[in-house]
Amino acid sequence: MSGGPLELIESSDASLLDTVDHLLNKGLVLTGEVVIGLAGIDLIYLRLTALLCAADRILPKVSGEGSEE
Amino acid sequence: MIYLYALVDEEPSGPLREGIAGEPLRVVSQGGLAAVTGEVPDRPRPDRETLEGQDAVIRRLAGLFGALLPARFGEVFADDDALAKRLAPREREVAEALALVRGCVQMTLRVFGEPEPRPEPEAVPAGGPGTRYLAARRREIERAHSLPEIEPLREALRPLLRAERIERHESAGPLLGTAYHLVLRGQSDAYLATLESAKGRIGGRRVAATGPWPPSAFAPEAAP
Repeated sequence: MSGGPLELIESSDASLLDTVDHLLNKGLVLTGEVVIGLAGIDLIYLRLTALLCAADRILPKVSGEGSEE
Repeated sequence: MIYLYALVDEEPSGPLREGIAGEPLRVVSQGGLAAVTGEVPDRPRPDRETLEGQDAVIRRLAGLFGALLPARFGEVFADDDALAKRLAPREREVAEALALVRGCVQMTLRVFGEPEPRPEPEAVPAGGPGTRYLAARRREIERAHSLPEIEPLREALRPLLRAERIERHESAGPLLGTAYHLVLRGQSDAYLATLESAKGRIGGRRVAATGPWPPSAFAPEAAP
């Protein structure tokens, strides 16, 4: 467990997360092997979801909207 | 080994150049389709550099074809024959997906905020426990692919949308889900402007759009 997610968010832009999502979770799959060959992928994707959630908490909100909570 | 980047159905409009390992890219024909591939020494590792490298390659390739379906990261094959064997049974499905994405780009819309309460299930369907179970399963599946929370946004965007894929995230946290939208090339600015003007209509929820991207969410998934 590194304290990575927050650092990663701060040192990169949200589109890196989208890149990861599009490449690892989307796209044409012809082999079944990809899942076995890259056994860490599901974990990475779970982490990505957590990161996206974290991004929403860390990044400043756009003026005014939803400012309660 | 052969590494698959994308499926296309026409000749590139310019040089393909290199892949993620610096290898020359080439097009392998298969029936009416063609695969853009490179020869790599090892299975690529999903680290940041390689992922960004592949993203850059796919984006560049997307500019050379009218229609392109990105492959998922890590699609390796022993040789061209092995690739052809896997592709042959999917040819029709891939051709249909290529027709769908022709001339289009993908916009990725993340939706954050409070979920809408689940609608009350309609009157219990007639039939035994099996029928009720199947009806409940169907509702779950439909819910996993719907975001009623952004309906007002979708209404505003509808004239721009060629297709849509929705994924709802049920995990705890503010990320409600993602809508992948297919729009014509050149209309991504109009998409973002429409979103900007309509984003106040979804009850305090927030959205973040990125794009244009190659249309990876519109590629057929693994064969059942």
